[in-house]
Amino acid sequence: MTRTIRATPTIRTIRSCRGRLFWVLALLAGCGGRAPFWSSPIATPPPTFNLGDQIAVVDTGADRVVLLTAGANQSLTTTAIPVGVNILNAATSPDGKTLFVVSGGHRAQLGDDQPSEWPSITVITSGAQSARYDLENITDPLAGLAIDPAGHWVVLYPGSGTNQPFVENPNELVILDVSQSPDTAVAISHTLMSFGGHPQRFTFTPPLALPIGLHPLLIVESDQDLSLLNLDDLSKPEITVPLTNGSDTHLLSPAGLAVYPGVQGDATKGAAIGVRLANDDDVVALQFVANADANGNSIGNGFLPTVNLNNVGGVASDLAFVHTDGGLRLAALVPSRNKATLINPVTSLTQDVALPAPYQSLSVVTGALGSAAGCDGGTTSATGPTDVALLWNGTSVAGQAGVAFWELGQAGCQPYRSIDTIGVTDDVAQVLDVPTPNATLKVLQTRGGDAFYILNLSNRTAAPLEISSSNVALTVSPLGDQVWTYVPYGLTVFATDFAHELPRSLLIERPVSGVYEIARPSGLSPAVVVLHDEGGVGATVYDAATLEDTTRRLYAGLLLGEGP
Amino acid sequence: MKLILGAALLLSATASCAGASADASGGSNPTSTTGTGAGPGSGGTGTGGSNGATDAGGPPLPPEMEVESSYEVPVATGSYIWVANPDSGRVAYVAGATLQVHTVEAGNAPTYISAIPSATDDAVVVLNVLSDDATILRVAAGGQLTKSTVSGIAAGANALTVSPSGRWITAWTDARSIASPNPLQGYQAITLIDLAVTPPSKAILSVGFRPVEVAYAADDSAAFAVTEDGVSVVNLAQAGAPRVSGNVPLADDPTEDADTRDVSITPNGRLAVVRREGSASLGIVDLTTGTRGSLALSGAITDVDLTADGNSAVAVVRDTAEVAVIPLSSGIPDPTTIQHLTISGEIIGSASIAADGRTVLLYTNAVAAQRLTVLTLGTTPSYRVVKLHAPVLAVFATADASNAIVFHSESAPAASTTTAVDGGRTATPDAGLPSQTATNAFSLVPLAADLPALIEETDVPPQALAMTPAGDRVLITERDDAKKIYGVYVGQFPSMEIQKIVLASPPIAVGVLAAANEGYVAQKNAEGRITFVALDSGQARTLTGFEIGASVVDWAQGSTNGADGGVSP
Repeated sequence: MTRTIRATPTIRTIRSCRGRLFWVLALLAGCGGRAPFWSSPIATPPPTFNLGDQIAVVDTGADRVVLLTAGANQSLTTTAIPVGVNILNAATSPDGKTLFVVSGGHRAQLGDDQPSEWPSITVITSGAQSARYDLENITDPLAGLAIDPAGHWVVLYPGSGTNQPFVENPNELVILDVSQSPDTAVAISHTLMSFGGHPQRFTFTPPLALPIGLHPLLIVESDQDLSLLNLDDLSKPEITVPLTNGSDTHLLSPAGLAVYPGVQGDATKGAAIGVRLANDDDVVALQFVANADANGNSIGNGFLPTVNLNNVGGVASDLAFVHTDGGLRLAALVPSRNKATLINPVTSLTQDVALPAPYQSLSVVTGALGSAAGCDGGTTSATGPTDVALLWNGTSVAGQAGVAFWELGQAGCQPYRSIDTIGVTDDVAQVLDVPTPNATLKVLQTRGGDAFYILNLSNRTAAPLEISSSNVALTVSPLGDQVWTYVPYGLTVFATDFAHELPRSLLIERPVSGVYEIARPSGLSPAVVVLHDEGGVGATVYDAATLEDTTRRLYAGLLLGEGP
Repeated sequence: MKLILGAALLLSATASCAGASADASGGSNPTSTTGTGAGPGSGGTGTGGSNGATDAGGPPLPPEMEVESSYEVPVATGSYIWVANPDSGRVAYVAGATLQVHTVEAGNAPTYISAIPSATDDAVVVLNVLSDDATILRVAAGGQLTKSTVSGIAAGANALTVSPSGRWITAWTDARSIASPNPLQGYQAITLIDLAVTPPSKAILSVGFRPVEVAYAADDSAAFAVTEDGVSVVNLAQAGAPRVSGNVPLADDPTEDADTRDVSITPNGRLAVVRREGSASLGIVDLTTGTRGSLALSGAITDVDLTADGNSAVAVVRDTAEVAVIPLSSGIPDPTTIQHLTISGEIIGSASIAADGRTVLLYTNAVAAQRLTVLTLGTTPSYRVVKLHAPVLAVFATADASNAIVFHSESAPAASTTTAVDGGRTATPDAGLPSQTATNAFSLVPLAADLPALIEETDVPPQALAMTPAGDRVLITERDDAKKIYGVYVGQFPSMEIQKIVLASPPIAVGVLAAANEGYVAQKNAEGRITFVALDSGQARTLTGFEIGASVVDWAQGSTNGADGGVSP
């Protein structure tokens, strides 16, 4: 069961060095000559997160989360949210708007002044009241945290670290419906049936078109099988899909999966799951059939996956469901063969597409483009929209790096002509999405780190931006207007706006631990908050639109002051 | 002559379980004479009419090729497809309606499977070749599996024949499936398994030299093993264990070359009909009395076929275009009761009788004939000629006799080919050399209505077919490993609509799961692969990886979903 403790935030407005009430610090050191404390790095840098219009700083020692809110004139307000004691983990939802903090709680010993406290999850959403779910059905903390992109579920699982129990079952899960209030939410303890596997990854699917209707699944990849849990009916145990032939001692491990949600009501477009294996040439395609008795009554979970093994000739490095002229296909990249293989998940028919480089990663970018062209460049014979995929992460070998566009709309016509390379000479290690209104852009982070590219999906241009340091971090503005580049713990921060691709530097006087662009109240342009892990966490706040040095403000001691 | 023209031709399980026809002509005599006698008929009441083609003085035509039933039917029961995996020791069975895959442990190296007719469940017998035992597997309507094992099967058995009632199983050795058999090996030990008792009992018996076929009397009173020594009769009706009650020679000359014989046994087990390559005399042997009779026709008999009920046989003399309709219901017939017909102006060397027993499809594949004759039996038989658009290779009537499927051949005879097919069997011509090879087309031919045939070009020669019991759907596979072309065509009657489905790997068997209204194509794949085709919608769905598919466990189900003996929640 969960128990509700309404967190009471403590709000404090921080004065900058220019603030008229900063006299205490000025007395100590003056703005130009401060005490060594303010330049001393803190022992353990706190985890920080961008919640869109606030920055969350997880103050582990104080069992709280401090939210930083930027206001007019680069003012900064802190709001302390108390969370459960013994913080074990914190992570944001995939949309970045909600922070989940896992606390291990406290078991009071005899004579202990600190009262007992259950393990808990505190959910902090920007602009909303935080909620704390006490997990009264577990005694020992679970540090692992998996979050449903839809914001409905979170799953706790055994993590690593010194705070974990002496004895733990790696297949133990605690599933919590955080769409319910803490008063009504019931944390469900569930132990996955195991053939010896250890969970490795968790995937929350959108509602899938299953024979029993639309239901979201939790897919747990262990090191040797898959478990499928119907999140709409957690009273039922899971379905286990072994990936290794029972007569084979060579255990096959899943390495990632792709999900096609299907179309409810269309029997020909049921949900499908693709699984690539870390140590085998097969790609596994799962579809679903009804599980019913001879009288048609649903039994078990009411559905079962059917298995299709598809040998793609090499270990697949990435895969995704794509729409082609010929219909839905599971695209698998096989870098060892410089090819991609399109798999019909229904019939197991495969079609190889030669690639100019051993690309290891694939991203479907159709959504960013809106629609794709067909075989003749303008129309397509497909019954539905066809996809465009971005291929990247080749090798560092000259001529085999960079990115390419793969027109799936042409795959059914002339697949060997559907690859369009882009003249990016560096080895692309990561592709960063850019939010609306610039969703047609991607930021390509190179493996060497001495350059990044702004890739325009619409006109297929890639603007290079060179960097003089190889130790660079990139963050894309959640507002989609610019990309931030900085050297961790250096003094260099650059903003490159997508409109003009012009880099502009910031004047930073403290080592940088993070750069976050956040929204400010209506009528104000966004602010960029540069965090400094010294002096109790400090920050430099700029107006992100003007980047005006004269209006920037420097703050220190953000975690100082009254507790929660 | 049983042959496959470089490809395996399979009939659906549901369409080919008629009676006790031994169809024992699957002999292996590729070196027998290829000529045919051209002399006029000397007996009977019909006329040995002239035939333009053979009277033209050209070289003798090659023998007819019988391709309709060269291979055992795919192992399918009403609702399940059964596939043995000799390596894993398991048998996978796939439900056609739900596509759920299950596996069950059999014996050591389960290799040969045969369906057991049953009105109450789905059942098969599996021959485990390394443990010399047989496993009986039954799945009840509710899905519950039961199995029993019969140990001590005669060593080396590689064939299973189940009686139409489902009571008796004979495990025997077909020497034709053995590469370079020892000349001193007779493979004469057969094992009779009686499923009427619990646990099943068995008896090992000795029959004649090298059996080529086993058949049963419809009333389960006897089993017959067609051997080089004649027909060994096994008495099944007597109390106690079955025993060999006698051996009925099929010829006066005990040294006659058995490989040139084409033996069919009537479903009632009373008669054996013996055709000899190049002979104008048709032998009919009463298996109950041992009496041998012969009927002389107008020339060398090129084909004989029995009706499904065994009440009649149709013999064809190509050189004279004679068709003899022979009554069999009263034992060895009086020659005066035989109807002799002449199909004037046509070359007919093969006959295929539809399930209705009245419609006979006459054709030849010895020459490039683009014609098919449809003969309707009766007091006054009648026939009509159907024009086709490519030479005929083989003809198959649908179960309702309303339509036919024609596989076409190349226009010119081709050299002999013997092609190994999956499953360890080799397609071997049973008489003479193949005259023609398949070409890239088949036709759908309306029989009940006088409508034109529809020819469909294929990418590679058609390989095999299966038909629904209702005769409204037909599945035709194509396979070319060199070109990597694999597919199945789904034909619909009476609309004559044809849909092609591309397959991911070489088809090795095609069939119909009547109860599930699904067609299926088993394919070559190391992990096991079957493509199901919904017969109403044509929607295809493939399963690959039986072992893993069967290992899926729904822990909410309360029992093991897949492999027996496995885990359970």
